[in-house]
Amino acid sequence: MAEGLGRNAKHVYSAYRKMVKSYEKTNQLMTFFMVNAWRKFVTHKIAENLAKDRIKLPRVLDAGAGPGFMADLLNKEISSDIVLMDYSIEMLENSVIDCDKVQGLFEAMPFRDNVFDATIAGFAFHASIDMNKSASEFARVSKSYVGVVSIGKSSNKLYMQLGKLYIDHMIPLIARLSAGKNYVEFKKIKSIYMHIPDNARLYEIFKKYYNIDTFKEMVFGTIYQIIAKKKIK
Amino acid sequence: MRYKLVDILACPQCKSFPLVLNSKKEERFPGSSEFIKKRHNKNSFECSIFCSLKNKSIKAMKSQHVGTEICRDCIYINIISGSLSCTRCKAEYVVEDSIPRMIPKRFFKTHI
Ligand SMILES: [Zn+2]
Ligand SMILES: [Zn+2]
Repeated sequence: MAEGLGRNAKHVYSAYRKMVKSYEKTNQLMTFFMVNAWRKFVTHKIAENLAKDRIKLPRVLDAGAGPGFMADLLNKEISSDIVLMDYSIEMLENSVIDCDKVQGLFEAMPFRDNVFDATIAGFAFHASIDMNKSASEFARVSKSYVGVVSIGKSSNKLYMQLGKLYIDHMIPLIARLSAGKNYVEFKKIKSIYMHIPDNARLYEIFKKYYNIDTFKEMVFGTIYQIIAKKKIK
Repeated sequence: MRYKLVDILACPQCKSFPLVLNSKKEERFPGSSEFIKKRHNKNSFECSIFCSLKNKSIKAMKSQHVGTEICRDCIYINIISGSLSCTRCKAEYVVEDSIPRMIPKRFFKTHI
């Protein structure tokens, strides 16, 4: 069985499309206002690497961009040619940054090989249909760097249970406060947590294609960050 | 989507490049936009491998000593609606409200 949402993507995706308006507010509350700092850590590292390589106007893919929060943070640090990709037209239409937009999926990326200097993905990779396929596509379209921050699952049994408690009880509560009647949609995050492999396995998936520079886990492993460089074949 | 995007898009199913663009409705962006200012470079072509506006490879244009301004409009013209088709697997992707819809049909039945 593929690691990822598989056919469960259908109901997670339909929920996500309904969240456009309350998406960021709920993200902020769910993460106790840490979401931007976590994104920023990743975009900062990627900007640093791109600057080191002295690429003029590097081309960057924000994969699973939503309204483009990662892209916006990156763009504030380094001038780049950004493409937003998301499966949700609703999210792309509400983008916070003026750049190219494409509706697409991780597992079947609509780009030629090695066209990007870096790929960034903020709170998106956990919604892969098939994580192995997604990681291989990330590596195919991008020449060097990848920066990911995402929902994870600790490989430590106790932490995993704590994560589950948070997702089962806290998220519906927070979402109820911020998203009103749309809160039920956020409950579908549970489906994501159930279907993602644990963080040790995620590390292995990325290691197949990348030399991993940073792999950081936060909040009992429910959040992880990866900064990595593509292996040279 | 700008013409320039065709220079990086490939068929999501079979990865064939370039896709054939059929533009139906277009508009022109003002030259003052942040997007254009950042990209404008009079010494090079806007597209890097294939220019869909001229329907020619950059290599061919360089060998014919064509001036770089020929592909300037690739960042100025926005395609509002049209389609992109793959000559290899015959898949067709629509462009609607300026966004190319690049998800293979098979995913809509089962996953989306
Ligand atoms: Zn061109
Ligand atoms: Zn094709």
